[in-house]
Amino acid sequence: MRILSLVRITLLMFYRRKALWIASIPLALFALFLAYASPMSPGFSNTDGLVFTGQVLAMFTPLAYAASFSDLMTAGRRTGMDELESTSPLPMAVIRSAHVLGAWVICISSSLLFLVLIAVHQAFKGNGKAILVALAVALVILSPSMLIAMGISALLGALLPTIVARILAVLAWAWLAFYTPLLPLPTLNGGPLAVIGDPIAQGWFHTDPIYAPANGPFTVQSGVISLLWQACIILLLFTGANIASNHIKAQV
Amino acid sequence: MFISIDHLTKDFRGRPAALNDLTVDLPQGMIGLIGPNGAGKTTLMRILTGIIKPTEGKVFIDGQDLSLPANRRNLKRHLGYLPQHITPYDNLSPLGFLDYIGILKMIGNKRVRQEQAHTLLEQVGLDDVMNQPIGGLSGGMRRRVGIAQALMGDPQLLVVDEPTAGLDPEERMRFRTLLAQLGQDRTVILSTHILDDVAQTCPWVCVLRFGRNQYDGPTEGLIHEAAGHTWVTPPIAAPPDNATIINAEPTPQGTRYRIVTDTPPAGSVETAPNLEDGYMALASER
Ligand SMILES: Nc1ncnc2c1ncn2[C@@H]1O[C@H](COP(=O)(O)OP(=O)(O)OP(=O)(O)O)[C@@H](O)[C@H]1O
Ligand SMILES: [Mg+2]
Repeated sequence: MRILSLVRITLLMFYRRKALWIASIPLALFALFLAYASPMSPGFSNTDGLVFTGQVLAMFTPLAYAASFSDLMTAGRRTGMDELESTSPLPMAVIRSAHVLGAWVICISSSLLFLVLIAVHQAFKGNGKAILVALAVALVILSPSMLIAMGISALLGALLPTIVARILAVLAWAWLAFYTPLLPLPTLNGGPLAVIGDPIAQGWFHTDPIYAPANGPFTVQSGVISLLWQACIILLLFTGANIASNHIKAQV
Repeated sequence: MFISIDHLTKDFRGRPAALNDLTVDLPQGMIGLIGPNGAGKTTLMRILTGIIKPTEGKVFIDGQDLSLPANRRNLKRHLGYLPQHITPYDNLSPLGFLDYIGILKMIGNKRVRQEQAHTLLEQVGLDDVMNQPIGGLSGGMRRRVGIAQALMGDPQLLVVDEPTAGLDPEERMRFRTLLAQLGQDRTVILSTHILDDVAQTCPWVCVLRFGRNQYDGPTEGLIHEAAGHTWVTPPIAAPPDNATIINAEPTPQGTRYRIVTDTPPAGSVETAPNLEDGYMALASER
């Protein structure tokens, strides 16, 4: 209950951050355009289209969040809010988790809105489960990728100067999300550890993956593995960011 | 609350000790913490509030050793703190911010939080702006938001670090009155460079210098340090030697100085000391 009130207040803290909206809405619109116009696109008129749109949103919008959240764990040190928060009987980990959840709600809201609009349109056309699919896509495809991008940003921001962290986090996300055979870099895409939802999209929603799977089509289990792996990564990133920022504070 | 500070030392890497073997007992009530820049006031407050740990030594609050996590947690339930430098989340309104602090202080009931927030914001004179974003408020108004948040949850121990810095005279008076009321049934530790604030509100005072305890005791006692040494000179041309000058009043005949010294110039009149005189007398002893 208490964490919910905290999350509610954090929402207020983040929703007035103009930079967040200015960065994420154009990216979301661009992703929507790609999801519609891409040669791979199944269009907006069926469930496959919803899943595909979710995946494209999951590739592009995290770029904004990778750039935005480098000060998630460190801003409080500059403003003195860290000191105030650490005099609360609530553990700092709880307070920070609330901040992350609040930020996440803000991040997902614009993409979710677009997905739901498409789904409502489909529902009127007779696709009874469209809205459920949109919500599921937001939860299992969009959320993990957004949280990973935020976590990378927060961790790098706790370790490095903020501006460097922003750039590196965007590059890291670009590496995770976009793969081209032109660059001699290994990639997680095509395997069960991909972070843009291919294993879940194909394994659970039976759509075509964006990157061809390396070892045969993704199965239900690949989806489960992928989600668990992403959950672990998210936990590790934020725990690491929390520890790193506390440690740096302890040194001064 | 009764605070006992026992051989407290705090070293920051590569600097002289911020606190140096400090031992002092602080009684219940209003306590003024004064001393020059860099004396260690903020460091002491951060240790008392459990934000940082001392390098050596211990703090006991009502006999509870603060080095034990359980005791720190217990203390935090009864603690209000105003850091010296704080920028509240500027996207929130004062009301929203106090609500947030109320949650952090584990006030579960939203109505209770809102009522407290309203009352406190009225007490610090922010009723007109309680719904505007903090980012748009003036520096002094933000300071008052900070004061109000420290009072959320009716804390038994209130630690305020230069609360009146940047307040206009009216607000400072108002805050003094508020503090004096609060100090009747709790412990308030107030650090400040405005000695008048201490003289008006704190019966007990502790003077830090170079991380050491230079004086602790009744405020009267500190004033008494300058008794028999405080003089007002006749109008003269040049400031007197071997004297600490408290203030200088220009007159047509020359300048009239208020000084603390053992060797006043001829014609000086002894006068009753105030806290400034006492503080300066103590400072000039070293
Ligand atoms: N985080 C820190 N890292 C390194 N040194 C510090 C830190 N905080 C305080 N110090 C040092 O400790 C000493 C005491 O500082 P402190 O802030 O406690 O003084 P203060 O009495 O509050 O001074 P002021 O009146 O200027 O606020 C100073 O020499 C300061 O440089
Ligand atoms: Mg200070």
